[in-house]
Amino acid sequence: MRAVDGVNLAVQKGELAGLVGESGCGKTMTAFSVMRLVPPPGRIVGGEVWLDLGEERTDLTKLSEAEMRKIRGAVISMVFQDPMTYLNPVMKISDQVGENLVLHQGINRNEARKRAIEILENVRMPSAATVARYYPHQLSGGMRQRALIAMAISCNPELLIADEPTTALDVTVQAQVLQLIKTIKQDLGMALMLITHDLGIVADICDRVFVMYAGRIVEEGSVYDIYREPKHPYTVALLKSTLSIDEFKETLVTVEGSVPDLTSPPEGCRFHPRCPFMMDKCRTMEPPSIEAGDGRKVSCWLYA
Amino acid sequence: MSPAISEHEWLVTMTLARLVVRRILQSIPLLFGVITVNFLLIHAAPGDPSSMLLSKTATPEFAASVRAKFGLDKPLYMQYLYYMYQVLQGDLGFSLLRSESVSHLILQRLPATLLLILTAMTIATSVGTLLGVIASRKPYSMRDNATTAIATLGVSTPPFWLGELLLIVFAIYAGIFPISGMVSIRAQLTGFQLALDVARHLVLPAATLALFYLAFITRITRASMLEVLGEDYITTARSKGLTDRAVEQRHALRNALLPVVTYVGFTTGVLLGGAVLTETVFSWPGMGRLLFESLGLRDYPVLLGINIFVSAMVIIADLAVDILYGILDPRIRGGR
Amino acid sequence: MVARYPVGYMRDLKMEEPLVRVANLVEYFDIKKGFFQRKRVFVRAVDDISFEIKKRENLALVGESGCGKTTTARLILRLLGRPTSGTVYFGGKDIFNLSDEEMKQIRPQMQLVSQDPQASLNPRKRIAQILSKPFRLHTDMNRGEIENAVLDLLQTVGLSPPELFADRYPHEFSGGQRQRISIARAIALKPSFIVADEPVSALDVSVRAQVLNLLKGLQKRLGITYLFISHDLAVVRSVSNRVAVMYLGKLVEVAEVSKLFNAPLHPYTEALLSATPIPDPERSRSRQRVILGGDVPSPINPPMGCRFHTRCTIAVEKCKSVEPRLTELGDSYVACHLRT
Repeated sequence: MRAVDGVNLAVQKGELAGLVGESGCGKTMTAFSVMRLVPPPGRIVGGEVWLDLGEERTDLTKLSEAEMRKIRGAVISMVFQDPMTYLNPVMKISDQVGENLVLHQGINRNEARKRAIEILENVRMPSAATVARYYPHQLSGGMRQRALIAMAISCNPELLIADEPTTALDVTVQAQVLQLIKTIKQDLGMALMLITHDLGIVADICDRVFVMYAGRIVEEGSVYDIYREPKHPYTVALLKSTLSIDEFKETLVTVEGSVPDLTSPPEGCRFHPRCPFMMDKCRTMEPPSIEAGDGRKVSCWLYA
Repeated sequence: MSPAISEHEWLVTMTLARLVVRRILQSIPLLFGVITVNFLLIHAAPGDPSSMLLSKTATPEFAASVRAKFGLDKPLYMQYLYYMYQVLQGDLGFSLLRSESVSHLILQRLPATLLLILTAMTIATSVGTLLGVIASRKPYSMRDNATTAIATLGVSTPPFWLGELLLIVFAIYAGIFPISGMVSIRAQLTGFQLALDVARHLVLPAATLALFYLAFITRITRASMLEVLGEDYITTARSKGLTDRAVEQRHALRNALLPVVTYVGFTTGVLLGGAVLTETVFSWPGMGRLLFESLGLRDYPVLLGINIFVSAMVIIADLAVDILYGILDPRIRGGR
Repeated sequence: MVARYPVGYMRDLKMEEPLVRVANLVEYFDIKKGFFQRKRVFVRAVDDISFEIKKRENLALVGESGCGKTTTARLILRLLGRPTSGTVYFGGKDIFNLSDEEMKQIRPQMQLVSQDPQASLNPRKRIAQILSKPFRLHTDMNRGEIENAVLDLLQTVGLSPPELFADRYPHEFSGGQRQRISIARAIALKPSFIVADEPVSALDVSVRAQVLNLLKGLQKRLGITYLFISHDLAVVRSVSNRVAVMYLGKLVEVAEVSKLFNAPLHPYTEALLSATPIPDPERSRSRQRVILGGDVPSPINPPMGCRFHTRCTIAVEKCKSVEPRLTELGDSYVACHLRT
């Protein structure tokens, strides 16, 4: 089963890219692939992941495991969805946040603890010095997520991948965390990849949007363009069926059918069984990524 | 300003000290319960305990005086209180067939048992956890399957069978190790020579016992490690760029060992009552053999005394495990 | 028992008897604290709330985790026994003081659709078995009649052709379909009241509409009254008629849906709306944002006075000591010193 089948995306420095899709579309696997953390028996079977740091370009898929380990945590970091289960329950916060520093910057444990408190302050953790000595179960959801973020930015990575970082949080806490993410992007100038199913979050903080469906990217563009003028029928349907506090919808639009089983995806365009604009071509030929002006790309025969 | 604390704070919070005190206080009624059950066992048998002491030819007057001496003519609740008083003072009664008090017998045999089980459990725990961790590194690989197979074999092999086997092979045929006992009585050794001699005698019984529990510990460790390695925080650890070994040691192990600690602590407590089968096979002069002999000789006071002793040991071991768990797992301790 | 309602509720009553009336409901959970504590400590999950649900209306109960909305729902469904104090009236009758006969009548009238369709359907039973159970338990219909009723139900919730679905097991269906089966089970005995506890939170965005449309349709066709529990205000906007906002066990605002969203009265409501992202980058980024600091305080030791004052941007001296009561303001109710 190909969870991710031919994904092309690029994130720039200082840019917050949103990878949007519903459950099972492969967005988390894409993130894991960048980090090369795909859980066995899965593995990367093709394609490249280019890390472009100006002076040098590296294909991460060709690196050895040892070289990749140097990248993880230091150059590319990840923040995960559920802060409770992603923190080690028997380790203090300061130790967990400082672990990256000890590992990648070679400082000793005591020094790392002090630095950890500084970083916790940077992510606006209340009473950072006290909290540093606590264990995860003593923190609230929002605080735990800040701890995870602190962990991820501790070595000033070039790229931060956040996989549904606010799904498990209350909405007011979510707002705080999203603002924190925005601030981090500005202050540290890193590239950010935000993975989510929530179109509201994407509209709120992303610069660029990649829409994913059944293991493929179906549309790409700046956040304003995508929302103002969605091109791919899936994007259109997704936006139409999304509810907003801003407007009342009498009858809610749904998308007929359900997400395809990736062990035997449909022939041709993967969305064709559910697409209201389906043509004969869509049944047999898979649409390539087509330039649609202004940095936009769509994978749909309507735009060929 | 103290930060807002999570929902967990709203549940029971205890400091480690309060945990300890609470557990100790819980153990006391348990102990009383055990003693009471023991008392009831004594009096459940038909006839009264004095019938064990008297021969058929005793005169009624003598019988009456014996009963009075042991307080058997007093009402049951008084006998109960008197019994409780006795036990708490350490007086577990008198052996019928050996001219010693039960407590003395127990204390005499205790060091031998301690030596045996502590040696065995140390080996079993250290080797077992190591094997379990190694097996968990590549689940379902050749290495893992082999380890699991051996562990299953170990679990299914009764110690007395294994003991006899080892005895036959290494002691009788090969003559490397002595056949029985803890010391070579005839040699009359002292000091270092004595220690060496005891060690020689210790090898086979300790190996028998160790192999048995090693199998359990390996399986528990492996299962626990596999479960922990599937947890989300292991993904976090890997995403930091830690090597697999570092992930295992620093993150997985600490969490995975908790159930192992429980098992080892509890088993050691039970074994303090004597590893009956092993001691019997090797004629090891410990509590287990005492139990076995007393069974054959119908030496009831000793049996009952051992019962209380073992129960007390298990209660203490349980307590120790709970406290240790509280030290290792901060979630049990509760919040600040 | 004296009902301490805010002024205005009595006026509503004259118009039409509400289906559900919650009166000064209080639920405290006991927390035992170790061996040596003298004081008993309570989680004040629900602390004196009163509201009504009119017939055929969809009242949303919103708030963040720990606000007490789920506890309130469970109390109304009689799943937690008697509340610490206060009561709930259903069709005018006190549901905690019913005769056995009355209980038998009322029980099937109140149903629950819960969040996780996977957990609420028995994975070992076929759909037909699951759906026939309410009929078997509460009616004396024969097998043939029940079979037809089950097929009818599946048709009503849009799972068509029903014969295809009846013979299968829950795991063979998608999340949205399972949720519709849950709803089918809930409406089997034609209840007048359904508590929907986060019915779409676990579903994909494109599937939510199916379930929500169904609920709205049933409201129109079968005249069902809903208590709609949700943490997602966007869903509430398009589904509910009135909204009640809870914070730390108290009601802070009750208003008709368009009023609440267009002109929120309570600062917490404002903050909630402000924090909810809008799927439109221009609107989302250009609006005024109120970002609350801190986390929700503990319901064991709620703040004195107005419970929201510790995070409120417009709090004054009075808010720290005097608890505001839920008072009428036009058609809405709000508990805030600065609005009344």
